[in-house]
Amino acid sequence: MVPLSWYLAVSALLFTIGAVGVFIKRNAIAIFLCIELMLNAVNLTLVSLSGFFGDVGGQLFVFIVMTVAAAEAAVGLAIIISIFRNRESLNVDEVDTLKL
Amino acid sequence: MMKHPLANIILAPLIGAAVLGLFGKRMSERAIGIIACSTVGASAILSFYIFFGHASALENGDKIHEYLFTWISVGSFRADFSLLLDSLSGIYILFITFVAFWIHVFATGYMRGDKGYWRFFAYMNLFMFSMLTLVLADNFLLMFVGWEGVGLCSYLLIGYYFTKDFANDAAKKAFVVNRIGDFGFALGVMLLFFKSQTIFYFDDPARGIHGAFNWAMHQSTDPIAWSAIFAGGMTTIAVLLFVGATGKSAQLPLYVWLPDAMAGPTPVSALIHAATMVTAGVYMVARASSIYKHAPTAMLIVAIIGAATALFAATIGLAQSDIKKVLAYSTISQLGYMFLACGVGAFAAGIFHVFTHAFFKALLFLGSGSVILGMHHEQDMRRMGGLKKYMPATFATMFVGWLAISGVPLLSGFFSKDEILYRSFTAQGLPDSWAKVLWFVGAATALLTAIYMTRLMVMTFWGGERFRDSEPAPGADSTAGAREHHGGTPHESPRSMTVPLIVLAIGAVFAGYVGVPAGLSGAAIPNYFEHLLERSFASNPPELVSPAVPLEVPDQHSANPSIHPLSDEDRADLQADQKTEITLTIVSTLIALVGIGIGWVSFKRQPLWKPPRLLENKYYVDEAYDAAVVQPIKQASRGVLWKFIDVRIIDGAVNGAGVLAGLLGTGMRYLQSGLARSYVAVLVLGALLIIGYFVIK
Repeated sequence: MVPLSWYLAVSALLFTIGAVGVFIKRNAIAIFLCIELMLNAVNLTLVSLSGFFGDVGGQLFVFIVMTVAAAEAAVGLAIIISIFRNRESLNVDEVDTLKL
Repeated sequence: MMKHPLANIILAPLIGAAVLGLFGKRMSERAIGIIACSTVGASAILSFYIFFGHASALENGDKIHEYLFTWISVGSFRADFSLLLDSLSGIYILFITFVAFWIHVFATGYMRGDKGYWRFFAYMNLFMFSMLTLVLADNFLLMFVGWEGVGLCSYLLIGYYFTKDFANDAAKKAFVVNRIGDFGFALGVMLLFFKSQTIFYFDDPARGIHGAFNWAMHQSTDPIAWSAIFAGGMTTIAVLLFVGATGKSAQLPLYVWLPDAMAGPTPVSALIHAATMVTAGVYMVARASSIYKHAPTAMLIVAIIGAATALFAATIGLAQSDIKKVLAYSTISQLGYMFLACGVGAFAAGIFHVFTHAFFKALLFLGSGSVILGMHHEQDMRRMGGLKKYMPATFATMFVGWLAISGVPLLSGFFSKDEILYRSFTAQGLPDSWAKVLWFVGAATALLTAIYMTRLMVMTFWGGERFRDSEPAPGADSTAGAREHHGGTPHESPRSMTVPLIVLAIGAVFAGYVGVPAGLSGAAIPNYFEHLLERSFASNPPELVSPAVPLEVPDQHSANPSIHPLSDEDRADLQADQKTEITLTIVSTLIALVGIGIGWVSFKRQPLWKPPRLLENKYYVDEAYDAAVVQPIKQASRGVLWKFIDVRIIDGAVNGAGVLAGLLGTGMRYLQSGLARSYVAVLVLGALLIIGYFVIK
């Protein structure tokens, strides 16, 4: 049986990759993928801890996270498409009209 | 036979209104006329059937309750949709449905060719429903439903020609002025409920209901004092209810809407603004007689307002040149008579005058409608004259109405008016010499009534044929009505209009014979009308009521319904009264004849008499109200409510919220760097700080 620590290590790795990706990427879709990666890292933590403690609450919470992630993906992609139509670019650093 | 006979009386016109309102637009005029008349006719037949089926019970003062359903029940408050038939409401439904039926028949001819034919009859039927609900209700709240319903129908029918500004203005005026009165009425009912814990009229053991009037009979009588009005007792209730009556029945100071209401079609003026709706106030005061009997101050107010209105409106009626305006002021004046009667405690005489007035005033209004139609929509009497040759049937029937309203002996108006004058002369329980003053005002009004009605008849039917003159009469009132068909020879109206006139003329002659005053006939002819009604009213004058006497003790008068059994004491009283009554009758007969004589001589010679400006302009009351009430409200609305509260405060708050949000946003923009990854950096840093805090701790 795989010990708990391995699961946690994998999820920590995934989370770090996601977080670093958000930092360094300029492409909006890449940032978006990285955010999904972070979410799933958290999901993995929740599921493995749920199995470890024998508490289904963690698994239920994962479903909620997945639902929210799906909704967020729909909205996020719509925004990205709309930005691309207006600016012919997916570089987030160029979308800065709010700045004075 | 039927489970709910009384409900059918009020439902028949409602069904007619619903059918005509929903499908009438596609029907032929003939079908519309048949539906409208037959539903009201059904109501009339049913009313007669029920009334005469229960005549002896009604004479004994029995009250027939008909419970349909409980409408509202909250805590100790209860209002039922339930109907009550006693002699008072019985008499009302008889003459309402009878007169209304013939007015509907008349209207099928009068309204011919009008685009809104179906709409007109739908409103008329709806009015009948409301009026019958008002009369047959067995509690104040249901009465109020009918009360507001007739007000609504009145509004709709005054504004029937809604493309004309003056009709819309008149409709709004009627509605708003009535609303002032209704406010008083509603307050009166609330105070009554507060005091008596019930809004029902009478006890009904079958439903376990206590009646407000049964409660009122056990209260002590308020003293005669102006302070009693504000004491929150019986007098306050009575005065508040009377405020409602002054609105609906067009008494001083709320009478101003009725003359303008003549903007509606003439059958409406006849039905609503002469024969039925405007007498609702009298009905309500008579219905609440047991409250008024315990509030002598309120009675005095009713009598004074009634007498003042009678005289006031009669003087204005003398100076109007629009044939319908004359009749409108005449109606106000006659309504004043009815209140005078109620105020001096002669409720039966007041209702008797309502009854006879319904016939002769409906007749006069329909006659004027026939004249207006025959004259191609001309209402100005200065352009009439000599019409008796052209409109013989209209002339003959209006002739009867003229004599009846003037009080010529042996016609209906004579009996009822004479009874009222006699009762006010001999009124008990009023402060000194008030009775004589009230009688004098009433007598002066009777004289004026005879004069202005003679003027109307002379200007319309006798004299030169002024409609042939091409130039307008001097100072012609240009707002009086539609003039598009001017010109041409006057013509008699169709059969559908003359038959109702003839029927009502017969009523105007004979309606008085059901209530010949006892003093005149020496009690040989029983005063059936008064006898029928006496059990509907609080029976004793206020000073004789001891708080312990229950209402339901039968007195000797009602033991035998057919003849008046008189005790010796009564007989002695009667003989003394008889002398006074006969003297007063001779006086009032002379007054009527002198009035007709004065009118005949002066207006035959000078039909285009120029009345004093003060009278012609109706004492400038409309102008005074405009200056005192309308303009201040308009100015305050414009200056304060619109320019200040709406523009400055409300709009200012809304716009201010927008401006504030904008300013806040502008300030927040300084926080934006525009670099997405720097936001992420801040986010991660923040998350690390929070996690770090918990880890270290």
